[in-house]
Amino acid sequence: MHNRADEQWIPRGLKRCAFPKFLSWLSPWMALLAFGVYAAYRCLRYGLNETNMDNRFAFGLWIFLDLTVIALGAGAFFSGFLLYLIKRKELRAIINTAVVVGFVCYSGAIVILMVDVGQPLRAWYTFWYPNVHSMLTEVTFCITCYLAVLLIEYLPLLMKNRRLKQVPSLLVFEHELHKVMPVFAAVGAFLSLFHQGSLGGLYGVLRGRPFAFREGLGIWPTTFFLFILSAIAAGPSFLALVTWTVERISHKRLVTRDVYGTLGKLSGVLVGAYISLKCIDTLIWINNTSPKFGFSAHSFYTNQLFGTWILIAEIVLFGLLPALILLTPKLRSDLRWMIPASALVCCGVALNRFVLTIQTLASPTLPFDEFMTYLPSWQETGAFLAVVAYGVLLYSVSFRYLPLFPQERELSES
Amino acid sequence: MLIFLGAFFCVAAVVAGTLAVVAVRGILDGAPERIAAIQWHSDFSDLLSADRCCRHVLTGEIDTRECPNEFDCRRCSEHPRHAQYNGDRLYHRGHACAQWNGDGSYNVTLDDAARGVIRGPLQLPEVGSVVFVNGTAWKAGDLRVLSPVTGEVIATADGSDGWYLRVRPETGFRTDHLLRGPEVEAWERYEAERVSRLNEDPDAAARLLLNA
Repeated sequence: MHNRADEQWIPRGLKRCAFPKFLSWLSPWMALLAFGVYAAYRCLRYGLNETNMDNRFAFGLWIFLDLTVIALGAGAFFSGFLLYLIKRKELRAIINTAVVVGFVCYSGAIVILMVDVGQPLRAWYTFWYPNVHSMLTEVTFCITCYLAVLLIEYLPLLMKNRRLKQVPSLLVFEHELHKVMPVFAAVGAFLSLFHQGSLGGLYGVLRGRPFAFREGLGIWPTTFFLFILSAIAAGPSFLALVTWTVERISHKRLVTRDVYGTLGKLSGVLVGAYISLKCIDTLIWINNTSPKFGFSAHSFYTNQLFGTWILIAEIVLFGLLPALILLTPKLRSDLRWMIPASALVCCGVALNRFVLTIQTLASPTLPFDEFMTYLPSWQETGAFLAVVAYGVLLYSVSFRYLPLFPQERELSES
Repeated sequence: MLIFLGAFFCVAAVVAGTLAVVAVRGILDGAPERIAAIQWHSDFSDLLSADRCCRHVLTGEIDTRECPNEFDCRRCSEHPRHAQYNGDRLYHRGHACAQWNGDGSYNVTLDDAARGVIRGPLQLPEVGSVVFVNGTAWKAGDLRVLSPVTGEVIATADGSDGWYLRVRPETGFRTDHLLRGPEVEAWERYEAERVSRLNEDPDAAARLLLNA
């Protein structure tokens, strides 16, 4: 009986597992989410002393998570921009999943940011009393507006549900909303470029942190541009990775192989450009910026854990190597190469955000400073895992009940 | 500060303005004929590309062509170039058919394939209401039977006499979009092949035939 009712909500022509099996898949994620919500509650109830952050490590696991998921979620705005404004029609196959991934990433980031900042009842202060000289204000405005845009982009997808579209008013709303999607794609691209850039920019302007400080163009340090480029490079890779993972878990073909090729090529070109500029930026920093502040660049890599290997890994293993794979047509057309390369790109972006968040704060900047270490508390880890669980849950439900992959039905019939 | 906040207010204004446009358009789309057209547009886009094939492909006149007009041959530039057939029963691709009565009305019924599998209580429209091409003619359970004609319903029946609706078409109503003559046989063969893949599940067959 339950199965029959459940089937009425599954998109026409698509096969999904039985409802009890689906519930058993959701259960561990729900348990993880419940644990994380409890951890977040403790942080909100008892304050940030529930975490291992302190005056030195004002940014920790949560900010690392925010920066990483926002970068990985860039696939939403970038594929929307390419599809609706540049008319790259082949991206129609993944635009729905890109919107869900983007929505998961941004909503997760905002929730964890609210736990981090605390006092969620005063969240509106950010908008009413903005500190217009802070890049974080721009970031807050941008990601809030962009989340609203993502929600608007998610709505038509929600209304495409088999049952919901039987309601005429919802169907009409979805139809009309779909027509104006290019406007939201343009707004999304505008907002995303600025907040991706500003997230990088806020590290680049830290004069008191010579490890992160960069010079740049006008008021924008180079990290502003590198963050934008790395996010739009990782976005398509992350989409390919998500799609491939869902294919593996569901035992279904969801997109044609040429869609992976398109994503791989996009990512390859952008990672290539990013890593070239990153190399130039690093060389300028080593030879000019850092010495000007009285620091040898090498001194930042003499501390435990953060040796020069981290820089080499970021540039070579997670940059040049995947760029070469994704730029080689023969290799990127083979998923055995393409998917690991995409995973490397995503890891590279995560490592970059980790280095800028944690290594920047860990490195001593004054003669009497010591190298500091930071390990997140279980409450921080729990809240972090809650975001992961929330993402998996929302994506799983969306995958089951919404037509995320327009090619799936054709592929299963063939 | 002015530039910074101004930029965000512009963005917010664009988003709010676009949503307002969507709301106004949605209200204007509230007419039954428009809703029927949007529902059909949605249903048609759900079809597999193979199931969107042109009627002239079914008869073998052309090799391959996906219909770009949502099966509305009245607005197709290709259709007049191909063979035109006659027939007294005119078939909609949603398995409803219309038969001219000679008194200014059509009898609307289901074709044999659909009649064999569609069950469930009938929800017929009221006499005096208007049905639209590709809009809901009546419901059988939760399944919508799509109307082959546009016009006023002048009588309803339970199908035992071979019809469900009697419809007086609107003035100047054209039937070019409906299959007839040898096209019907070719199309029904194609549909029977689709149904045969469903392992004799009548509910699934009904949903397939009615595109539900």
